[in-house]
Amino acid sequence: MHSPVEQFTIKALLHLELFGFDISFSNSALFMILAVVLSVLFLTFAMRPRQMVPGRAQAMAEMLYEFISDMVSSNVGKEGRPFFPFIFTLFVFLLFGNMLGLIPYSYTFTSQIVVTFVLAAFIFIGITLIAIVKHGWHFLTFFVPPGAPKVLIPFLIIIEVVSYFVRPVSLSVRLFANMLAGHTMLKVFAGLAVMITGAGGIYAPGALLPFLALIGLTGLEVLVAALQAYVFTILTCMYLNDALHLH
Amino acid sequence: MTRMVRGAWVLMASLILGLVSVRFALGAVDEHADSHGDSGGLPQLDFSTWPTQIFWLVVSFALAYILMWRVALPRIGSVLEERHNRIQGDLKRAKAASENAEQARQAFEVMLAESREKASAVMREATESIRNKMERKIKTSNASTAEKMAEAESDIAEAKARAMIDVVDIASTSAAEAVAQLTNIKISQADATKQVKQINDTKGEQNG
Repeated sequence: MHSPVEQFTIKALLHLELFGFDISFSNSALFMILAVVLSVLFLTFAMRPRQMVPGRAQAMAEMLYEFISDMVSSNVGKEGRPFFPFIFTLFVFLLFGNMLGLIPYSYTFTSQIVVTFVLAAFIFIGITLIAIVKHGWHFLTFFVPPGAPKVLIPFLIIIEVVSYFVRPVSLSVRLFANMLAGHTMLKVFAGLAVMITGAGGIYAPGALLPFLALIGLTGLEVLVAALQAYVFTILTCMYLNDALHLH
Repeated sequence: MTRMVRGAWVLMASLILGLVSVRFALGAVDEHADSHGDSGGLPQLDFSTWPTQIFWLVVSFALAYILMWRVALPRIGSVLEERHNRIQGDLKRAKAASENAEQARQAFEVMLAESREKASAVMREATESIRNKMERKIKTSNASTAEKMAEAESDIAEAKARAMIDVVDIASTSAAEAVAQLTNIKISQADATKQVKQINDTKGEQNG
């Protein structure tokens, strides 16, 4: 019996090396590239008719665009407009990554803590730099909650600083843990169904139970895949808003 | 905006550099993990796979960003803008048309009021002229009637007076004769007339 976490193993498909680093093209890399290619192809081909009254595919592409556009303008405001392409790319990349991962025999690159953490760290450092560039020393007032009693300010600053630096950790762990747990659970139930069937005889029909659970869980995982991409993106928007407007 | 984008690239590059240094720091840990091999641990914590994942994440995300920013998003944006402009244009035209209609309605109403006034003026004039004509006719006819009546009345009065004189004459003559025959007293014509007139007047008074 395979371990339920074996599905997360990185398998090199093409050995590559750069400056002594192993940068082999792996199953994870394949699905990253696939997510990019598929999402860009989908958006490009869906928009090809350029109809005034959109068809189904065009309406989907436009809805995706307006969904993120509204998210940016309602959470960040007008100043968030330059970051719209980044936020859009982030959402589509994570959405396609999560969704592609649900296809059997595929690979979910968002289930890797290193991937989610590098994304979250990039966002965290980038947003912090934006805040410093925009506000200079004034940025430090972000850690002082307005209207707090003077006595409490030292403690509040500590809390604010800690919560600020925990942001990339919570952002990355949330996505990683959701993907890890979801896919492990799917594997466990699938394994159980196979195991019961393997027992044979009168036990075999019992395999139906974990199988039905698996169907339900798959639906749930589709929801989680979309939801976690959304959560990651909207939190990025909120952090960006904090950086641009401080309090 | 371009400054932000350039900043993002600088950031990305510095991140890669940072991770390179982390790689050297973790070198020992890496070898340690490698020696264990597939011992059933979580594959996510196998640090030997991190460089390749980071490398391909950076490559694919940068690719995605450039393709979205330069290819996919402008296409969607331009279509949406085109539609927005079209809708705005249509709305503007509809507004102009409705304004035109409103103006036409007002002009029509003004015209209607004017012609209504004109019609009533014509009516008033006609009524007045008819009334004047009738009044004039009634007046002239009244005048001629009164004239004729007055003429007739004077004729009647004349005839009456003439008849009265005749009656008094006959009565006084016959009264004087009757007195002369009965009493042989001769009464002058004048006295008889006076007496008859007196009797006639009293009778007339009694008769009302």
